Amino acid sequence: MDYLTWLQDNAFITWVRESESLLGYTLYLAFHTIGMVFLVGPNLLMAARVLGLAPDLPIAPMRPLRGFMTVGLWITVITGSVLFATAPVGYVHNVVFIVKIAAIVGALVLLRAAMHQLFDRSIDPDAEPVPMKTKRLMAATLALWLIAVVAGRLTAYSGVVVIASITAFVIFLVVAAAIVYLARLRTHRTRPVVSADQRAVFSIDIQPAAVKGGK
Amino acid sequence: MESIIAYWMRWPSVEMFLTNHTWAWPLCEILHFIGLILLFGAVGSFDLRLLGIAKGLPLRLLDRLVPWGVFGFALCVVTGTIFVTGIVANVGTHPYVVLKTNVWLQLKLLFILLAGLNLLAFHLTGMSRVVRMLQPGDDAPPLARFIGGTSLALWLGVVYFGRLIPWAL
Repeated sequence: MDYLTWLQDNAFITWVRESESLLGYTLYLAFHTIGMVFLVGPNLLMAARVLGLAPDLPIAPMRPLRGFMTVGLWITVITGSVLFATAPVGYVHNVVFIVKIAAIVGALVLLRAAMHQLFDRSIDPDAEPVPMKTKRLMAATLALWLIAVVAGRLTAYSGVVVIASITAFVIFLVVAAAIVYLARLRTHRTRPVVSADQRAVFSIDIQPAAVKGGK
Repeated sequence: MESIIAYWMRWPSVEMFLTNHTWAWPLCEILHFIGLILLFGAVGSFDLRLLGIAKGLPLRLLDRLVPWGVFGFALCVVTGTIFVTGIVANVGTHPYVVLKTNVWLQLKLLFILLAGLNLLAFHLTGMSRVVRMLQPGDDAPPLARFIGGTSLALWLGVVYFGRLIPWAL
């Protein structure tokens, strides 16, 4: 605790906490969010492909996004460390903050493993279906990011409000999932069932027409 | 005119809801952030590809994910409207006074407007059609790259100013 108190009272950290300059607390706060979107945004794109939302996207060309995500990670870590140092004693006693950090560490470990499966193996990731293990890693990463974002927002609140907000968010998620599920069920029911043979015939019919129509 | 705008900006029912339900404001904050991430996941990735990062990704396919970004933006607009119209419940200041005095909110709204105009330019200049025809590995035309870079910068500005709003209340 002595170390945390020393950290909190450090001249630079005191200036960051108390200064009204645009280079003070608000700069670190804003760039913490910017770093987060740099990191999680491209992760969503990868997840969309791996989890089947964008099945046509090639995986291999996403590799350069890793560098971009690393920049986002470092921005988040550096700004987050400064923000933590402005009130370390309070943060280490805040359960919601500890959940946030645990979720972030977990998400980073799983994301690293998922990206290793996607980009670092000798085989072409687009030559075969995405392995179930990679899908599970990516789904768990997304779930942990969600927990991190929720916990990050709720770090500023206390006790009863945190519990009520988590309950409200879970109810919101369940209702949203039920609506999506029912909508998909309805779409599947109304869509005519086409056999594989019929589909093959359609594709043969459609292709020449598309060529004729094109300029 | 001023009183009409002030009247329309303050929604007592939203205020009442936020006051009576302590979870409502944090829930809106969570959804605002989720919307932001969806926006950057879809639109930000599209902009990065326009700028030449991950050039192997076909823009035609990235374009299909843009509706997710639009959904994220809609989530931000709905929750942002709740923040502004019900702000009395949180800080006790009339939303019209906040709009008139909070420079960060003004800049955020201006940047959203500019991002909208930038998107309009992307379609009106025909760049949206041109980039959809690009093959993997192709560079986007300079105008499309400029529009992509501008879009990314404007949305980052929106995030930056958005985080500063509470500090000027």
